[in-house]
Amino acid sequence: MNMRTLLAVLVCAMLTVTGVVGRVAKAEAPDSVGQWSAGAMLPYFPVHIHMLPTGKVMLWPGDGISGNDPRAWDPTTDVITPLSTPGYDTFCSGHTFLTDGSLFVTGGHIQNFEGLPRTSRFNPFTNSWALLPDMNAGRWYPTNTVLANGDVLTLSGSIDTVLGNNPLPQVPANDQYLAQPDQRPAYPRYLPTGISCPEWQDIQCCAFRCDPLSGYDGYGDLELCRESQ
Amino acid sequence: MRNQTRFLDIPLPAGIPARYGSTRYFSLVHGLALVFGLTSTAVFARPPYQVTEIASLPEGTSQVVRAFNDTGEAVGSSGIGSHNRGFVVRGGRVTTAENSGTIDTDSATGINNSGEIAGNANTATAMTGYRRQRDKDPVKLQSLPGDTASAALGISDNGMVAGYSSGSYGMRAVVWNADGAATALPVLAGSTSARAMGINRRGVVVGVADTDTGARPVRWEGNKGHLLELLSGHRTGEALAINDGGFIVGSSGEPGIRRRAVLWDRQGRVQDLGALPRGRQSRALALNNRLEVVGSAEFGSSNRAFIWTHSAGMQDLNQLLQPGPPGEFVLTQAVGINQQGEVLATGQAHPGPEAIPPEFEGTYDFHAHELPLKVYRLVPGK
Repeated sequence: MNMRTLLAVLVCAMLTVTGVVGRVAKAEAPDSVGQWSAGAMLPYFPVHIHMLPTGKVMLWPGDGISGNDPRAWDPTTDVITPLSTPGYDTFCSGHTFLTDGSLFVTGGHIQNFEGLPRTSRFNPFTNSWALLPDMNAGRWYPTNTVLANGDVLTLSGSIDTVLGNNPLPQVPANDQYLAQPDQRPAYPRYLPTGISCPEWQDIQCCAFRCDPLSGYDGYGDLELCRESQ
Repeated sequence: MRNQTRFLDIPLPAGIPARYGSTRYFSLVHGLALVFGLTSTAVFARPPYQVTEIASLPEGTSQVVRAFNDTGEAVGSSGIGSHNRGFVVRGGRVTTAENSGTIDTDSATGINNSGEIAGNANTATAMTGYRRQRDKDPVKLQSLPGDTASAALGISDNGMVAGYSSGSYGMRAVVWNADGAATALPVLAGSTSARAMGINRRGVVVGVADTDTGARPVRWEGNKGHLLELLSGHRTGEALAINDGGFIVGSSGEPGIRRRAVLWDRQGRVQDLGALPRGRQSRALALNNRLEVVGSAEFGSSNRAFIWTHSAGMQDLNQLLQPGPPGEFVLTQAVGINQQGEVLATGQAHPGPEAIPPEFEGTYDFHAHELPLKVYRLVPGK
């Protein structure tokens, strides 16, 4: 290798290194990748977390301590304040926001694999809970899915270690979980993946369609489709 | 299309001795206990059980272990593959039944001394109960006229199945006879729905009726149903199993607050079976004709499997095992007991010290639901 070739190689190597370093430096810039900073020390391990329409973050604990202790973290002030409590252990519950911004909560915790039948609704604007009628049986880790018409479909959740998963999909009508006209298939796990209707969707190991617009008399007309391959 | 049944082997460990006896260790401990006057009925009143792990059910699924017969066969359901499946442990093998009518999940909820299994399967439109004799195709348990779904929850030695039928009338307790004919059990006044959980050889049925004040334990005999007595101050309860002598076990309590294991005699009188020293709650799940009762009881922040007898009261089954290496596993629930006194129990193996934070060291209470559920057979010592 003569001197000219060696010089060319060195220059190329320097340019390459400089370019890489430059790209790395640019990629790590906070204005392009964001930046972490320590926030307030939380009072407990936050098992359930929700971004409220008020701009605050709602959280509550569980797994060794009761979930009946919701708090609100204000990201702008980094202050954590207690919220009103539902009066029961909401650890292992299912939840979804309703169209009015309130949080709909189903089920809860008695002990591992044993769920409460409770339902409630949290209003973040008034910091108040409304206790709603019980479901057909307990649900530990159910799933709530908002349907196209705004109703909520509640699926699965473990009743206890004797009866296993709750096999009854339910849709509350006028804040009432009415007696269901049909006993529909159980779903394979707690926390099954919910889907938004009415479009067909495949999820991990089973698929179903729910079309509230075709009329389900306030109960939810679930039609199972073939297992996804 | 005719249902086809086949059994699939699934890779679960079976027949693995979970705890080994140590004569020297036992003698030393026993001797010290005698010297210091520590011998209590809770520890040495009966010969220790020999324990064998018969299945390991994967974590992260709904694991239900339900019934046990005189030949040591057990049934339940668990996440197997991508679905919840019924399983039977038979002759040291864990198998799952595959019904062509099942679209995704099924379960096994009862087994009698002939090896006949009751269970449920999801079909394309609804959940349907089934009964299956050994080596035969499953027989669908029809719902009541007008209903669309059925569920089987218990089976007697003479092939009668207890469960429920549901549809536009709500949920109704039902018995299917050996020919598969469904009979609705009487609806109790004030009851909005009911399910039958257990049935004995005489056709006496026990279960639960939902009322405006909560679930209530029920016994159906002949063409009559009776609400069973609750413990003083309690409003809810459940009757889960009945033996051939007509004794019933279950629980009495307040919804979501407290619960006590109870025994009802043939006259329907209720008896509190108590609790373990580190707890106040308990739940009886099964009994045999010798009036030995098993279940689960609160123990600190977790639960322990118990056995209750008239002479010794409630005992922690973990204290009645052949001594072995400490900290190997814990029995949290006893779900069945056969006429030989063998117990079917579930629990967790120790996850290893590196997986447990210091504050939980020495316990099994840390994330027990994230561990595989172990199924154990306990054979009483001679």
